[in-house]
Amino acid sequence: MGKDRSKFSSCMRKVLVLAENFQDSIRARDTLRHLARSLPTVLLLHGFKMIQTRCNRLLKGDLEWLWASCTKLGRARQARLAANPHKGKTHTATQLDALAQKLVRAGNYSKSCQAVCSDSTPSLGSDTLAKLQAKNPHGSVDFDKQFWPSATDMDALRQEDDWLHVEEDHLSVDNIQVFCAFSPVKCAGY
Amino acid sequence: MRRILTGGALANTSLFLFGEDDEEFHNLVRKHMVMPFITGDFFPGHLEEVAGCKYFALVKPNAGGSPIPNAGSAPLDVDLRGIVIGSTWYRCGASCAVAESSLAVADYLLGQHGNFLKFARQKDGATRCAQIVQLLLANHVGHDVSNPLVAVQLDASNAFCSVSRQLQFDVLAGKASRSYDDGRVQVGHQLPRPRTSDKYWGYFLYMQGDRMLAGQQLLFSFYFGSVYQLEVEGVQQWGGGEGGAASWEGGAVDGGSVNAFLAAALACVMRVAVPIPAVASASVFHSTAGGGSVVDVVRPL
Repeated sequence: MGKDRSKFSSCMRKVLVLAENFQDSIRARDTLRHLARSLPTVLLLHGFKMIQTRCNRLLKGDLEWLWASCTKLGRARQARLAANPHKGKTHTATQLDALAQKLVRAGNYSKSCQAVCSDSTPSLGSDTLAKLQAKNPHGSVDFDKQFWPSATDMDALRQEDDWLHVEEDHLSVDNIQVFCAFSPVKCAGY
Repeated sequence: MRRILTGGALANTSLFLFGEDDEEFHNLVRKHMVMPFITGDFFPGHLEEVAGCKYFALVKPNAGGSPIPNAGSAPLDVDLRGIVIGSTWYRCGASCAVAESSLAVADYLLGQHGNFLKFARQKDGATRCAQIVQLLLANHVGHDVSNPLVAVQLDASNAFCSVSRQLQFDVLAGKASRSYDDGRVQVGHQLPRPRTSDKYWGYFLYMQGDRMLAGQQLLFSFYFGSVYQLEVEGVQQWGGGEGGAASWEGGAVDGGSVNAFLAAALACVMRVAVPIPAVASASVFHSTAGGGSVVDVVRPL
């Protein structure tokens, strides 16, 4: 696992350094950030050998092979799911009890209460997407902007001491590190 | 052995990146993975392609075989509930922003509402309390069908960006761009907001579609929309979110302990059944009571 982490970090670093180089092109920068956010899915979803192979290919810049490899496995997975679709199953009372206890022991009281109080059966019907779209239709993005701050206002705000203090005190690397350190605990039981 | 990383395991990958003592790399991670969600540094042409979360649906609980009514104009037969889990980086930015702003938001609400109760250091204190109340009430032995005890958790109806975000931006800008609340708020009227919120304009501006996160992203609109509504309508209601705070309007809440809050909450729960129909713009998505469901009580909504 140590080698995986090291390789993965190297890949992430390469992509982020590339993004850093595109200071003047938001399109290129944002594209590379998308790639960085997708890296765990692209590189880490399969076994040790595949992780090593994919990381090495990315570090060598062989992105065409990486794309072909990912899409091939993705299509195969879609075919398997089509042949054997997931079915929503409810937990038994015993399973719910065990889950609630596990969550409490992990300190996740809220999720534990939710596990007991809520019915969390996944909806996996063929009409699920249509129902979601009916329930959450696209909202209008034609906003009235008369009272919106201008780009100049926002630039000025980013220069204010208040913002600089917020960046330093609350959006620092240390705070991000703390979030990442505790994030898996929060996700326990997902 | 085949290894599949999902859920929390994938979230662990963010921790890999901080495993080595490499300050330059850590700064790159901060700048390119977290800060864009705060400052809104995105290429507009990519906005429709962003998929920073997992979106799935749960079956909505039924009452006597028929689904609980949906809020707004959604059809009655939509018997599911959409759930969104945001990406680690999106949640990271939101969490840091919430940690920064929650104190200011709590101070603001404490100044506006005499019976506002803050749950110190608990990120989801209000939700937790609501769930505990539901648990307590579910085992309440004194249930009377003709005069039911009801725990009602009211959700702002703007979940998942399916309603107008204009109010959200108006609250952030501090002025109403259109009439609200049956004309009681007119164009140009000042809307209550703490100073801290305007820093996160980019966060809300570029929040869209599948990059949303229930709870965190709704912090401001939920608080202000909800509390403001409470002010004008005087309805007993509680609301809260990731800001580490809970508000209670109309109840007699004294002291700062969770037990005191729960006692007061239960006392108010007993009286909340009657005012429910007055909460016209809020959607009831969950209700429990001793002896079984009381969905019929809230169905008139």
